[in-house]
Amino acid sequence: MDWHRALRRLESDVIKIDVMASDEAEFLATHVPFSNLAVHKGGRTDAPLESWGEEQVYRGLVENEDNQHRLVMVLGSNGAGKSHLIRWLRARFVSSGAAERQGDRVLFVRRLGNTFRGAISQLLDEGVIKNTDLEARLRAFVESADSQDEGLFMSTIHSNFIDQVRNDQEKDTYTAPQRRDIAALLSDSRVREQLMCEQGPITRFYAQIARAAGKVVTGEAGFTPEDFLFERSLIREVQTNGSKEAARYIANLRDEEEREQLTQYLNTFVSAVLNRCANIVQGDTREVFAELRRELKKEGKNLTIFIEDFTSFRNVDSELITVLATEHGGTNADLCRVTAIVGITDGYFAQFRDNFLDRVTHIITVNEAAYGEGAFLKEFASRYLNAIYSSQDLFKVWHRRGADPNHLPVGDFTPPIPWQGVLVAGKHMTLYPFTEKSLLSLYGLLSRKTPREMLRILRDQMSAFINDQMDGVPIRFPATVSGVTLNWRIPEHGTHLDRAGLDNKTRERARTLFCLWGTGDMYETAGSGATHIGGLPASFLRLLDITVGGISQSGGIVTTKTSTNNTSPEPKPATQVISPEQRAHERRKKALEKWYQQSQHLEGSQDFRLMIRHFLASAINWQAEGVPAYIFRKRMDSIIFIQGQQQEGSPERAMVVIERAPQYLDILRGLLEYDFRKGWGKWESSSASYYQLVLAEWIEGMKSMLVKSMLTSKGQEWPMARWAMGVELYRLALFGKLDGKESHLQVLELLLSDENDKPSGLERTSGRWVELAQLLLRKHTDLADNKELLQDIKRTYMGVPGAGGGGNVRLFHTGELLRVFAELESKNWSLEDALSQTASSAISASKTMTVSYELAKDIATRIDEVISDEHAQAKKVLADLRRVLGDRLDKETFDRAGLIMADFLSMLHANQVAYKGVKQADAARLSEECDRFAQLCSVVETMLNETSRRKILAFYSTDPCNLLREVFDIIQRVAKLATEQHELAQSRLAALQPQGDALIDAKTVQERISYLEERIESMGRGRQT
Amino acid sequence: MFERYPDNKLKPEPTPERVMAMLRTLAGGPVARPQLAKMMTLSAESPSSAYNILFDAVRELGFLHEMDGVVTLCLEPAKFADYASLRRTVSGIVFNRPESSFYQMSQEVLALNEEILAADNWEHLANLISNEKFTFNEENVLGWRWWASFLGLGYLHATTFIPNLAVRIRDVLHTADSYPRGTELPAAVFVDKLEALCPESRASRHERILGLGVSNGLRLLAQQGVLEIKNELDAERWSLHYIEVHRINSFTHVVVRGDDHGLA
Repeated sequence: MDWHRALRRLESDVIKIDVMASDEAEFLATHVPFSNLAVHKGGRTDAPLESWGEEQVYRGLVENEDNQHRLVMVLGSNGAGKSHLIRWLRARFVSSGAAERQGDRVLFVRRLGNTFRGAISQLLDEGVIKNTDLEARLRAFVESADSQDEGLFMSTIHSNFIDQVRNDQEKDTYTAPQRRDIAALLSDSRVREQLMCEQGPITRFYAQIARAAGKVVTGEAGFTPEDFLFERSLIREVQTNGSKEAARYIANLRDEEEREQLTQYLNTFVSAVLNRCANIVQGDTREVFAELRRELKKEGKNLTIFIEDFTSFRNVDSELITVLATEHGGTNADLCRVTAIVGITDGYFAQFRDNFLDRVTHIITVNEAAYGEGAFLKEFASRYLNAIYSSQDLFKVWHRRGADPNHLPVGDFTPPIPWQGVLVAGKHMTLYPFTEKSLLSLYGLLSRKTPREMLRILRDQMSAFINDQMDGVPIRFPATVSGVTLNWRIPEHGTHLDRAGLDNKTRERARTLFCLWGTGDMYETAGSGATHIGGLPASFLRLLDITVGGISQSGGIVTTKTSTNNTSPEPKPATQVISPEQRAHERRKKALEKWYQQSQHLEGSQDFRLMIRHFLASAINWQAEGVPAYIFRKRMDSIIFIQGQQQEGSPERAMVVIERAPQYLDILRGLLEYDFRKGWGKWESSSASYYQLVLAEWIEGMKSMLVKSMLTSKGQEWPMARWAMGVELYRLALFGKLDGKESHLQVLELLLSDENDKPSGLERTSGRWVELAQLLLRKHTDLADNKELLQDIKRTYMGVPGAGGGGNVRLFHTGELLRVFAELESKNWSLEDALSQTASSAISASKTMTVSYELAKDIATRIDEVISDEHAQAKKVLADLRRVLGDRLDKETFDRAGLIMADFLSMLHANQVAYKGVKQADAARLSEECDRFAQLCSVVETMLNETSRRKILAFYSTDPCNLLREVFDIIQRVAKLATEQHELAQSRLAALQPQGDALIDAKTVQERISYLEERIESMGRGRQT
Repeated sequence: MFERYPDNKLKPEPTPERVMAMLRTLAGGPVARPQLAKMMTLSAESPSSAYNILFDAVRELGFLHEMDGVVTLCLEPAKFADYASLRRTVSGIVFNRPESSFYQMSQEVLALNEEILAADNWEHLANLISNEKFTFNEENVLGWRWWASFLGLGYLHATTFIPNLAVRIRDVLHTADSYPRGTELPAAVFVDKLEALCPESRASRHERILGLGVSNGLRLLAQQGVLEIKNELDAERWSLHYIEVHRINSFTHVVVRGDDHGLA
């Protein structure tokens, strides 16, 4: 095989995406008859439908010996094969001799560049334009389109539109001032630039009318509302620097309705502008064809015209259709009969079909029914392959001899291995290197299912294949079908391929082959002496340098080439009725394969994350791995990361990372199937067992890492229970819930109780204690979380974490709680110590993980300040009391002080001396509660030497020094009263010097006070000595 | 839980975690039974039924002794130093009590082989294993599943059980002296020793075809490198439970690897 020739044939001769560009011999050699053309009589597509073959169309509509007037529209989407059919009809008409026999002038207007210029150029070449003036004008247009600068031509189009607007007299849409504004806007240099940009409307008009041949134009020209949806910056620019008319009008274009109206208005000028640019005036086109028909009539001839794409005549469409639709005879006896076969796209026809309905005699629709069958596709491919594998001369000779389809030559290419083929005109044509399945698969993958698109894909694959034959390495066939997700009939067979050790490119090629060429699996079978894998000959795979073992249906992976199974499994028939659940499942399956094969985002990744979470929750017995159910519940959601997931996240922070790799693909496949089937029972047993194994392997491979990760933060110890317990203990102490005398177990009970009473002991109005307590009150939510953590982190849980149920049974890991308690106790509940054991680099962003840590930090830095503050206050009150009562703050001291003060107050009372600020009961209290005050002083004294933070805080939590401060206050007030009375007595004595009895009374009082003062002072002196 | 069927019933409350919690609490020293209840529940209220069932289960396992109202731990600390140690300790007890409810259910579940795939909830599984000889209900299965998954008979997946004895087999390989490391054992010898150590798996085998749980366990251990499954010519070939796309579906010899492969 001369592969260089084959490549040349492929690239230069045979496969032309624009079929009209190929040589007629190649065209006829590769033409596959259309068999199911939809034919309607008349101009309505809702008329009764008949299904005709192309030969029937030819005989019934093109051959016209009865001289019937015919205007036949051939409808179809872009690439459907309208052109192909029209070209074949024309070739058949000419090569059969019918045209000559009927005396018909055959005019074929091809789709050269799809422009008006191209159409006119052909008419000029055919010599059908008889009017010399018109011919001169049209020649000038064609030549100017050839010679003129593109920009200049577009400027002409642009100026013509402005002229149309300026000269328009119509008043219904816009007033004259408005039209002036519009013209001014169109003239604005910025707007002009926008309209003439690559995607702009003027460029489209230019393409429609004049772009040089060789550049295929698709679509139809016309303004659209989007053309006037200008950028905000452009509008600002025009408003600032443009003419006042343009500035005035451009603001209106912010309104969608205005853009729509302007579009419709300007589109009324399209034909006129394009005609003016083409140097033609109204009536020219009609005249060309009327003149031609008259002349032919005179010559005794008729006209058969084939127009491959009517879009080329868009600007003169009405005129052209009118002249072609005009029936000969009667008042038009000077016109010859015309048979017009006109190709037109569905969309264009729909736009103005109302004008044609009563003029069109037949409508032929080329749709998928005409070419979508397997038989068509096989013949289609085999004819092209035959042409590629054969020399051009072979077909030229055949064409010269009349191109009889029954004598279509078949080249001498023989595939290196026996291969599928198809019988064409009784001759075997190979499909090598395609299979029937591959043709159907590739066709099925097309987004637009047309022969033209199919041809494009065949060309790409053949290009890779032929190039491989010439340079061999690296092999590229089959070429990657971009944007396509390949589906295995048995997904785990895909994994088998993924794990076969092939390099990435070879694996992709193999996957394409097995999924598109083969049966979608990798079963290895032997039949007729040849081994097949996935329905493809093993020898073919070897030729493509794909070395991979298949799977035996009875014995697992095949490592030798002996197998007893000789039948390839047939794909299971597709389910006829698809439920919404099934549809959703298929969508997710597709998304998964797309994620894997095309490195795209995983659509619905949150669903997959949930499946993983549910699986991990139950498949690992977390509690029996030492991970509290609480930790799993709180942490699991945020630690799963799927590469390409739609949610935010990073693999660095995740514990479970699902990479885009074969083993993870199988995990997700397994979970997806399980999720859909709600169990393992409705699978094929071998598949279910396989995915169970895959999942078990995954679990065992990461379990220890996962467990460790759960209990640590960034690999470091994360003693949440210790922090939580420390925080809760201080909360209890500061809120007055401890008395310092509880056993460890009792404290533990309190720590894990649901206690949430109002704090007590916070009546004090100042001090560090209050500050810290208030800080904690402000953080009550965090404290509640901390409490929940402490209660749950060492509570046993019967159930799958996060799956609900399990109850709320109080059964704790008390041994562990006591150990944590003992550790904290041994460190005197030093939170700083507990915190210092964790590096700050280990701090997680998770609130669950940090709530206790952060609270512990808040308390750790303040708690010793609280204790110091309480000690300072205790020392001060003791010092104050000693100052007034002496060093010994025992029972007797308080008793005696109470008695003296009571005595003093009684004396004042007996002498009817009024006083205020102190009561006799206050003084009596010192005596009555002397024991309590003395003990309190003693305990405070002891507490000043206590080291246990827990006990110190429990003691101070009742604010004991406040009582001593009250005692001191009573003494102070009595002493003050005594001083006041002393001074009062002295002043009155002085005033009463001359008055005898009164003087004696006053003196008596003064002496009594002095005596009492001395007693109090002596008590103090006595204690000091 | 762990005593003779049918008098002794499987219940869900005494989970492995709770057994461990009680053992660790008892490790602090002998304690009066009411005090133990108070310690475990950290509450002065009467202990729940869950506590009492747990206490019974720990006693059934022979881990505690009660005399004159004082409860004493009867297990060396090393036997429950961590969950893996506890797992091996419990396995050594419960799989040597063929008459116990737990053993019987384990055996019946493993013998289901691929039939277990159909059980998509626990009640369904209870129905599948109940017959003239044994009757189990959903609650029994709920109790069994915690221990079955803990002791390495398989994995829970929502309301289904995935049989896979990898952990169980690794444990017996870990403790048994009968498997010389690095020695190629014929399939029959390997299986014979395995069934002596994992007697609950015996009923899942059909002649020379190993059951689903054992097969996937061996495949998993082979994947981990704990053992090597070999196919040699001219040797008696045994089959694993068939998985179409797996490379190991039969074997003639097994080599148990040593320290570097997860075995002590």
